[in-house]
Parts: sequence; structure tokens; C-alpha cells
Amino acid sequence: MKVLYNICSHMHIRLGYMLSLIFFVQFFVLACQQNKKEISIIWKNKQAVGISIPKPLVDDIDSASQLLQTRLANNAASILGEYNTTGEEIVFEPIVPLSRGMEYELFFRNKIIGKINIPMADASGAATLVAVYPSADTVPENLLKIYLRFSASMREGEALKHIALLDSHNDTVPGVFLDLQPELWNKERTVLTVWLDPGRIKRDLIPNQQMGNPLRQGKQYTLAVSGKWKDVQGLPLQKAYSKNFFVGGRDSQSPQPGTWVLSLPAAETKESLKGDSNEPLDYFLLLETVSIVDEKENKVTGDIKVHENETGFEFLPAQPWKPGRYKLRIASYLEDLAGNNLQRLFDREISKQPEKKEEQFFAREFIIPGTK
Amino acid sequence: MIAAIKPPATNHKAADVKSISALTFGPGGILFIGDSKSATVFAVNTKDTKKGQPAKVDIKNIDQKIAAALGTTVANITITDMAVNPISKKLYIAVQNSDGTPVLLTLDGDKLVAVSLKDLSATSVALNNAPAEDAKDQRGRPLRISSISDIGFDDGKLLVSGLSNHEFSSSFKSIPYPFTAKQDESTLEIYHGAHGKYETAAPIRTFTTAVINGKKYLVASYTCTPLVLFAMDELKPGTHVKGRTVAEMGAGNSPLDMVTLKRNNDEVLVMTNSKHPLAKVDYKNIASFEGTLTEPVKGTAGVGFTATPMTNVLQMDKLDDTQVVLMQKKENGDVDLWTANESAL
Repeated sequence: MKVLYNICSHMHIRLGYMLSLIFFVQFFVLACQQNKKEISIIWKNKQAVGISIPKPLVDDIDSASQLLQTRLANNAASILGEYNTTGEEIVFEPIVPLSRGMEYELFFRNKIIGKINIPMADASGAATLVAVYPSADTVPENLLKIYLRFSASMREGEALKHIALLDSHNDTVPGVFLDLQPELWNKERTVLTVWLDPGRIKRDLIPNQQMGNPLRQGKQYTLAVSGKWKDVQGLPLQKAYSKNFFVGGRDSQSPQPGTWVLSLPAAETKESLKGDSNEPLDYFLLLETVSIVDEKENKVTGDIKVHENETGFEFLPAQPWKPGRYKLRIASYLEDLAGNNLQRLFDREISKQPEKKEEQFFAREFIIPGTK
Repeated sequence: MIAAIKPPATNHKAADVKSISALTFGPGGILFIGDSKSATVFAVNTKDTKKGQPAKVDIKNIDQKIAAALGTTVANITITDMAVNPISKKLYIAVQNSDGTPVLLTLDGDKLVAVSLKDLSATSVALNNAPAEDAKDQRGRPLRISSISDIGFDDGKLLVSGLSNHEFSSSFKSIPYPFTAKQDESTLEIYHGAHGKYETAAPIRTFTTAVINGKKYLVASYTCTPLVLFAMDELKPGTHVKGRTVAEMGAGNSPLDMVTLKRNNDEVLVMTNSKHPLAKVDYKNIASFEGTLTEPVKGTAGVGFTATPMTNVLQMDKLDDTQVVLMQKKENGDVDLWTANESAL
């Protein structure tokens, strides 16, 4: 088999030099593929999901599934998976895809029958860190969370090895982020939510008393993300990332949608409705909590965009606005950067603030007048 | 927020599991799998119902053995949870590969065996707070994910605590099992006090249930470290339930697992932590605070707890009334699996 493989490889090389023989070579390469007796990788969505083992490598097909073993090179353990016979091959399906950059060995009756290397993924497809929220360069002292948004699916479980908060002397500030397993990723694993240790932010909890708030008012920090963080293909980020920010005062107030400045669109146009919130809010919660309903409480279809620095939203209707009464509706779980939502503060003094009546939504009416 | 519950599909396969964040056993070999990625809890019929005796386990470098059995290295896997089947006493281990593929393994003696989810039947219940129909209304809106932080089964009910990837809130659900098309589900907002001055909503990281002075309580620990008690009979749908903080576990820490073990005639709460050592709390001491249940505990520490010298316990579950199975990262970096009595902790 090895010999046959070498002839085929050799022919590939000769192809470049001997253009006059191109048709002959093509024919020969095709013949090589058809009579392939090499162990090969089965790919699906850029993952090595199986190994194809030509039947001639195994002299007892009926017992093949008991007698075949796949192992990591230099490891005696047999990899868990299934062996199924289909047509001219036996297919090994491991319970997880084979790992990039690793070598595997196949055994039949404990004798090695072949080796296979899973190549590294194409580095040009590696992920990048495309955004960090909050995106403004000033954050409140009691900032609760940070979102990191990547261009591709990332590996889970190792975030805190790659994220650091540096002070103005470039020293790492210890114990800032909460070590949470499982990490909070979106379904596609492209957005990670990182919490600053809530035990240190909440006033009067022991961690808060002992270590104080994770961020100090009036100080400058850098959020540093290492370029070694790997995506699901095992490729490190294309580059490291850093973002400088300044820490302002404590935010101890719930967002007040009643005071937001609304810019109304004209009727019969597809102009956007704009809402300026006067303060930065949670990027993802803004996207999901804001909606517009018409007089009959039907939702107006359209797209929501978040303002720069998350200080409001823009609603772009799918259809031109009809004159009439509308309501801007905001689900009460919308939070500011400190985790205060429309209903409650992140931590509230029991003696001072009686509970508000629970409302699912905040609603504010507006009218789009008819054109004259 | 009351979740929209989809009618359970009673005959589908457990192969629909997209991730395994939490495991717990229910009655008759039913394994509940908390699947954060699809915001669903699956009740998988393992058919593992042959009565077994608790056996001592001692496997060195369990992480390396799991990685080799999956054809990869330790850096490419995460052990997400483990649970002991109370009938067979078999240990089930959930692992996630770096590409996100979930794996369920069990131990046959010292040998790792794959549990083939595609061959097992299951029922399920969806936990999603944002129903898909709603999400379609407006384009470009990412769905909220309710990550499942812990699941438990008590008195015919599946208990689920969740973390949202967007808002900081407490989501706790109690769902009767077997799942039915019409779910009677409670979603609670739970508040806990800090020394009588402040109260906050926060997500529960791990919990257990216990009987204290003849009354059943939810014993919950939070991402911001307090240990809080709630009377189970106060956990009613749509209510605002206040708990009582009984201890704080310290900064930069996330509680991981909790079990209740017997010590002679008493009971002990055993709790593992991400940063801090394994801690033990005597239920006797918790019970002595019974008189001030609705008031937050005064003072800074609440009920005293014993911090043992045992650090880096990554996973823990109860083997029987007096023993636990532990997965612990040793000082030299090895991850070992072993059983221990309460007195050895």
C-alpha cells in the first residue's frame, strides 16, 4: 500500500514538470484513487469525523469491529467509537471528532495496520475578536459584565486563562472576573459573557468589605485578551486585543425610559425611530427588550440597531409607518452597565426602597401624525 | 418571567442532547441531563436499574484517561458534571470536547464506557424564556440563553437553577416529573439579604434540599458566594421569595457542588468551591437559627463553616449516605477520582 501511495505522490510531482504527459498522468492519478487502499480521513464540516479503513487491510470482516482498535499515537488506550462496514470499507466513527494536529494508529489483532495524521486547520480561517461591550471608554465603578464577540465559534472552558485586567502600571489586577463553569456563551459560541465578581460589587458582602470593588473610581485600566485563545478548530486568535477604559462614578439608578429622547419618523416613510437613553445600557438586552406595538398591540416588524456606545437604539421598520398611535415597549429586565434594571437596583437598601409593583414592560406612547 | 413550555416529545431519542451542563438521577434509572445549549432538560431512560453496592473508586489521572479514550488530550476536554445512579451506584461522567460535542461516559470497574445517547429514549422539557415565535418578530435579535447551573430531583419534582447570559437574575424552576403536555411550572424570583442592609437578586450556582427541624428547605449557593436557605413550601409560582443568608464563602469564588451526608445521627452539608477549599456546615448550627427565618442574619459570617484543607475538588456527588465520589486536581496537576467518607473530608 505504501508503495502504491508513493507512486501516486510521485506522479503528482511529475505532473508539474512533464506537461506533455499530462493526459497520461491524469489517467494514472484517477486509477490510483479508484484503487485506493490507504486509510483515509472522513471529513464533515471541516471536522475529521471518521476513518475509512479499506477492507483488504482486515482479514476477518465479520469480527472486524471487535478486532480493530484506533489509538492515539504512543498511547495504549483504545478510542471509544463504532466500527461499521459499508461497501468496500470499514468506517470508524469516534464519539468525538479526531483532533487537529494529532496522529492516530490503527490496530488489527493488536498489530499496527496504519497511521493517520489529522492536519492543522487553515490558519487564515482563525477567529478574531470583533467587539467588546461596553464599547464606551468610560464605565461605571460597579460595571457588572463584559461581552466579548468573536468572528467564529470559540473553545469553551478556558476564557479566564486568556482575559486579564491591567492597571495603569500594566500589572494584572487579581480576582476581578468570576470563575464560572460552564462559561456563559451564546448558542453559536461567538459571544462570551464575563462577570466581574458580583460578590465584590455587592455592598457589604464579605468579599466587598475585604477586597473592595473590582474597579476603582478615577483609575485607568486595560482589558487584555491573549492571542493564544483557540477557536473550535484549534486555531489561536489571529491577534491579541486590548481596550483601554476609564472608571467613573457608581451607577445606583435604574434606567429611566420615561426620560429618553425620542426622534419620531414621518408617516409613510421608512425612517427610523430613534431613542436616546442618556446613559450606556446593556448591548444585548437593548436588542431584545425594545419593541414597538401599534394601537391594537400588534408588534411592528423591523430591525433594531444599537447606538454607538450603547446609548440608545434605532428602530428601522420593515414597512413605511402608518399615521397613528404607537407604543415603545421595553421589557423591564433591560439593564444598565451596573446590572440595575427597570424594576430593581442591582443591590438595594432594604430600608430605603419599597418594592415596586412588578411590571413586565415599560410602555411609552407616541403619535405619528398623518401627512398633510 | 414565566417560561413557555413546549409539550414534551415523549418518544424522541436522547441523541438530541446538544450539551451536558448538569446531571442528576431521578427515579428508576432516569438520568436528567441539563442541556444549556438547547435550554432543555432531558429525562433519559438509562435502563440502568440493577441494584448495585457502592464500590470504592481510585483512578489516578482520570482526565488523561478520559482524553485518551476520546482520542485527544486533556487540553481539549472539559469534564462538566458527574452523577452516581442511586440504584446501580454506577458513576456517570459528562464531558465536553473542544468542538462542543457532548459525551456521556460511565465506569465499569476502572474501565470507561461510552453511553450511546442515540440508543436511549428520553422525554424533555424546554426552559427557554424567549419563545422562538417572539424572536422572529424582529430581525437581528439574539436569543437569550438560560444556562443551566444545576439540576436536582426531589419529591417528584425536577428543580432547575439557571443563569442568563444577558441579565443578572435568579431563575429557579420546579417542574413535576414525569413531564406532561401541560406543565405546572413555577418560576421564582429569589432574593437574599446581606446583613439586613441590602437585598439582591442573583443567580443560583448550585443547590440541594434538606430537612431542617422537620421542614424541607432549598439550600442554595450563589455566584456572589452566600449560602442561602428557602423554605420549600414558600416556593410558589410567581412569588417573590426571600431567603436567609447563613454563610458566605468568600471572594473570587464560585460554589460548585453540594451534598448532604450523615455523621452519626447528624447531617452535614458538604460544599465544593472553585477557589476556596471544600467546606462543611453542620445542619445543627443552621437549625439553631430557625427562630429568625424571615430576617436576614445579623453579623458578618452567619453560620460557621469548617474549611477543610481539601482544595480544587472539581466534581463531587453522593455515593451513599456517608460517602462521596470526588474528582480532585492535586498539587502536581494530576486529576484523580476517588471515594471518601465524610470523616475523611
